[in-house]
Amino acid sequence: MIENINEILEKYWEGETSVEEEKILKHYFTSETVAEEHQTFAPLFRFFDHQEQITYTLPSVENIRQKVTEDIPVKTLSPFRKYIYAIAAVFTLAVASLVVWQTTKPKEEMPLYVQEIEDPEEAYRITMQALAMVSGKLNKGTESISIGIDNLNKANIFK
Amino acid sequence: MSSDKQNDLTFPTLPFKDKVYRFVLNMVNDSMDAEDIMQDLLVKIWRRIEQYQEIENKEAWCMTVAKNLAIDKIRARKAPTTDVSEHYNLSDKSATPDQAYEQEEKMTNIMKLLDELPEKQKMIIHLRDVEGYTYQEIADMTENTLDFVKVSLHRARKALKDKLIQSKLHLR
Repeated sequence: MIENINEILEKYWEGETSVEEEKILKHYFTSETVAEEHQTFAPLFRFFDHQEQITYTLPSVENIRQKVTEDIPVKTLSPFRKYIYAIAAVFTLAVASLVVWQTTKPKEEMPLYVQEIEDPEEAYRITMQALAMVSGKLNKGTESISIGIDNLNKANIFK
Repeated sequence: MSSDKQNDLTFPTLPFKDKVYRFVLNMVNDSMDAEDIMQDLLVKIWRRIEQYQEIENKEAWCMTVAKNLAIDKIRARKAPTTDVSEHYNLSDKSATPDQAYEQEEKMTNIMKLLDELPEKQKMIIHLRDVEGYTYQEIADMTENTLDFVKVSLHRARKALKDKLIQSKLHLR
């Protein structure tokens, strides 16, 4: 008997016992005939056996129903919050309407100021005049940049 | 589901309720917390009663849900429960006061040893050694692999053996 228990116990510590073998161990260790050499391990099996006897009593269905009802949060808004939410809703609606109106309204056609010139000399003269104006504007820009650079060079902080 | 429809239903019988409770109690070490978890589980079942009735393995489902609820409860705790013995009724009613005291002390020592195990090992050893589930059932309930369950059980038992020998608990 003890040899058999030793063998099963070794398998048990290795995690190799079957459920049936574990029942044999539990039965042995909860009996009054546990050998002295096994006494060290008896409390463990007795603890498992004791735990197995713990029971639970289900609450009544009424209690469960009550708990279900209690757990549903009922949200009530204060009058002030209701007012704030109403204003926010109206504002959001107004902004959304404006955006939709702006994006969907037909665009006004821009008038075209295009003049067709048939005389080549006249066309050349007008083109040169336009280029001269652009050139003049560019020169002004270059001048202001060079003045700026001169000023920078004069500044002590960079020396 | 409407409340009228729910009122017509009866709560399902849970033949495995004791197992679920013991499992949860083993995890949280507090009977009040374990009862709260059981109540939360029952509420979950009640809220989805129709889906619950279609679950094939209700026991495994309940165990898994209870395990997750227990993990949430443990994480929400500010301080760990230390005195676990008061939450179990460990005394043998047929024993004399001295014997009862000695018995309770032995059980408390074992609980302390079990509490020193990693959470998953503790969970797995309970499911196997108290409830007698197969490795596959434990793997399903704890959402782990079969190999993980076997290795964890082996390590847990080895650790318990060493601890028992070290502490020389020659108690009967």
